[in-house]
Amino acid sequence: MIFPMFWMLLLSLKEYPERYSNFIHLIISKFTLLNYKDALKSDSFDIYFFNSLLVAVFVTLGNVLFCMMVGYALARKNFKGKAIFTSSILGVLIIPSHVIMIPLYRLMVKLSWINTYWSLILPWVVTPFGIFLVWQYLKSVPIELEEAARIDGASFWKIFFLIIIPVSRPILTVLGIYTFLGNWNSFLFPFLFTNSESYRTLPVGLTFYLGKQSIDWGHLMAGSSISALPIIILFLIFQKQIIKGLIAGSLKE
Amino acid sequence: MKVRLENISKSFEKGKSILKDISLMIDDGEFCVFLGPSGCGKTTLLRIIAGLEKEDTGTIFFNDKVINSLEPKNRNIGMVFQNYALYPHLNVFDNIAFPLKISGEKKEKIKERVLQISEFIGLKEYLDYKPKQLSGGQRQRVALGRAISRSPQIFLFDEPLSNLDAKLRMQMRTELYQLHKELGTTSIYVTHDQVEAMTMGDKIVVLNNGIIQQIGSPFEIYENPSNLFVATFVGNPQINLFTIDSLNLNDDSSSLNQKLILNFYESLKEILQSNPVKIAIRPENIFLKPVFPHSIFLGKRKILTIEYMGNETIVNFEFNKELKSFRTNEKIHLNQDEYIDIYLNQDKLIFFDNNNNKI
Amino acid sequence: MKIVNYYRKENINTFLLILPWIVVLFLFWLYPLIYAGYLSLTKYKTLTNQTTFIGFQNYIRMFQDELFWKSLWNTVYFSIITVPVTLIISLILAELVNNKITRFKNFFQSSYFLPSITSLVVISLIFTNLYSPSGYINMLLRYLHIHTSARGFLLSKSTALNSIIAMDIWLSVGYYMVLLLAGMQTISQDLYDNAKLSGANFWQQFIYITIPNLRNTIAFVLMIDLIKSFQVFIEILVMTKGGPLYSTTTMVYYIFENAFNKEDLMGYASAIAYFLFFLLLILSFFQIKLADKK
Repeated sequence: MIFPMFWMLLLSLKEYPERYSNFIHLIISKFTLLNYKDALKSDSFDIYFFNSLLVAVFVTLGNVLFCMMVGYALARKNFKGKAIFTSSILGVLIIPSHVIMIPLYRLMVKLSWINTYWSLILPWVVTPFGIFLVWQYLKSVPIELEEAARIDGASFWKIFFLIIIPVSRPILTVLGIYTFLGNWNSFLFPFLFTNSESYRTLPVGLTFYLGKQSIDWGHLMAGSSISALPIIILFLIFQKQIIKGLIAGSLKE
Repeated sequence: MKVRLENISKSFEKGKSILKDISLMIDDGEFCVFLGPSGCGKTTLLRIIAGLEKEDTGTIFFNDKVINSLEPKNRNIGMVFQNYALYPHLNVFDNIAFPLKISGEKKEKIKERVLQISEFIGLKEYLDYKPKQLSGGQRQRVALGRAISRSPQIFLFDEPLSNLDAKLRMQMRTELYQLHKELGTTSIYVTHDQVEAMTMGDKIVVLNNGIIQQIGSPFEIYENPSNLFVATFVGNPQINLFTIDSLNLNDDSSSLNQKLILNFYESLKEILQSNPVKIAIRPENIFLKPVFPHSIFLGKRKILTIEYMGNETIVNFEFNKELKSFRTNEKIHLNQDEYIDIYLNQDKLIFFDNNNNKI
Repeated sequence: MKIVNYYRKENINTFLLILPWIVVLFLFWLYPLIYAGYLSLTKYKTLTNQTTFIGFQNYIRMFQDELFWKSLWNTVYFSIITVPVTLIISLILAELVNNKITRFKNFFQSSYFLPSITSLVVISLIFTNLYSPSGYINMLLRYLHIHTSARGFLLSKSTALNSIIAMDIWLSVGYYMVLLLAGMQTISQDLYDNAKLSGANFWQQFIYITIPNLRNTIAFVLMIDLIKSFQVFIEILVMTKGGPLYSTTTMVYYIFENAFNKEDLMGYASAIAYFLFFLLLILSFFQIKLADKK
């Protein structure tokens, strides 16, 4: 199953791997890290890496904070139009992102957000999936915690920041990791909303590299590895949370 | 701090009435217990006093000052919840310190106060522990510690012992009571457990269906229940109930001891004139011999079951196809299915009219 | 503070809590959705930035467009192969992990799962290489003296779409295996013990115990995989760009191509997007009905 990953690593560690037509020859040829050096230096993968990181980190932070806020309101507060509000979240779950890609692109053009980080971050800082995750979790948290805090003198936002957020840490970890993975890998919208090299993310940069005249597979696979390795490392550390998130995430699709 | 409630009413959204016209008075330093079955409104009443819920109508006074419009945090109260509601992410120190930190106390002062409290509740060695690492009893104590850290004027307890096992519950009961005696703070305690109510309360407020049934000392509640609900709710085994017909009190040909009948009629004449429908008697006022001068003979009755408890024995016997019971601490030997003589202490009979109110 | 003020403040604060979603909902979901509907009724001139209302012409054009039907067929073909095969393989894998494999269970599970969280672009790139004329698969075929694909699998009309399908199945079995496994863990172990006592073998247990008890989860997995398959896009863009000769042009790719690679066809692309939206809406409707039953 993980052979293709192994293949990627193998090619990335060989100089001009496309020259070998025999598997054995390829394997026994010299290993080198040169591809990584070149990919980062001359092929702007350092910029792509930074952009991917920046976008994924900010979207993740946004999701952790905003989904927490909205999920908390759904679980605990009463307000006018709550029923419509709730169904709007459900409803958006069934809108495929490909249907809104054209108007969203036009919107970004209108806002002059093409080739800015805004277009890559803002639309995704709060997601129905995250809201649901937090909402479900808070249903299992006793409401007495907040009441005790109210009696202890805590205000609305102090309850939110000093009690609710720390208590929700397990689910925010799941949400955070899941969001980071998704956005580190996200391709469609960064692909549509950028056309300058300095705003491209890793997946977008990789596809443009593929479009070049002659493909240097060594470089390309090194770039792919740079894109895939953080995810593999995260996965090995947070396997439990990721699987939990994915099972919950199946609601989303 | 004195607490006075005047005409408190509360309904939930669907128009279901939870509390109807509640008025009561709690003296400074008093330990007052709200007792009643689940759903009687006792917890809602406590939450209204705490300010966690808003009353529909009525007035709440703390020391003659109307506090209806005050937020919970400004009511100067401490509350202990059924599930303790400890902040799971904070250790014992920070849990107790939380109210102090929120009110902006100085660091040294907080430390001093928390140490003082932790000593008081006997958890000085556990300050670094998270709630998860503590036993049920210890958690309960932390909850207490947090409630007293701001030195509130009133303590509110919402069934604080119901999550503990029987033995621990008894121990915590004593501890709570001692704490109350030491601090002398007005306390309101909600429970469905009559033993807790009887042993701890200076004053008991019995509630049912959102209505106050009786307010009184444990003695008054037990010995002098104002209605059938209070009589049957308090006491274990339950009070024995007889319908007036089954006893045939107006009938000369009844099974009652002829000698006593005259006497009986004389002293009960007034009560019988007001047409009682039910008569009740506590299990400890039933005897195998006519111990008291005013005893009523209930005939020979069959023993159904015997519950030997060590210090006392509860005997269930049959009367008119119903189960009645009496309690004795005499070391006597009885057998199941044996027939025994049953005598009621006539002075301890309680009579109820057709509205179930005591005559 | 007075309690009346408190309630007013509480309302304002609650509004602040829900504000992020309200902004995102209106700006980035509802507005684009309605705007897409409007665009589908217009003709948009890229150069002059001019939008003209043309009614249902885009939709009429769509039904007369051979390439549209081709892309619809490709999408349907992709789905009717991918969905059942993925389901069957992931079911068997889940059953193996659940009942057979005891050693290296975690390693087994993670190695299958890893592809589904790796970037689809990266996966597509790796497979582009594997499928290329000098790629590993051709190497392997040469080794076994089987006929190789001279132009590479992705450049040949007969193998391109199937190659992508194979990759997609490989890619997603781990994910659905985990979902199915979660469902399987709710089946009581007693049932299996009982079956083993009466001598049922692996396949009999699988067919008579696992499948019937997992009916709801299976239906659920089928639905979400179907909805996902109808939107296959990134693989196509990276690996074949819809070619050769439109043999891998799926609906979303066709929308993309019309909107962004051709001139003046954004309105037309929006019409196809709306058509796809309603198609998926019907599928989602079934899915919600299923979820309710669950």
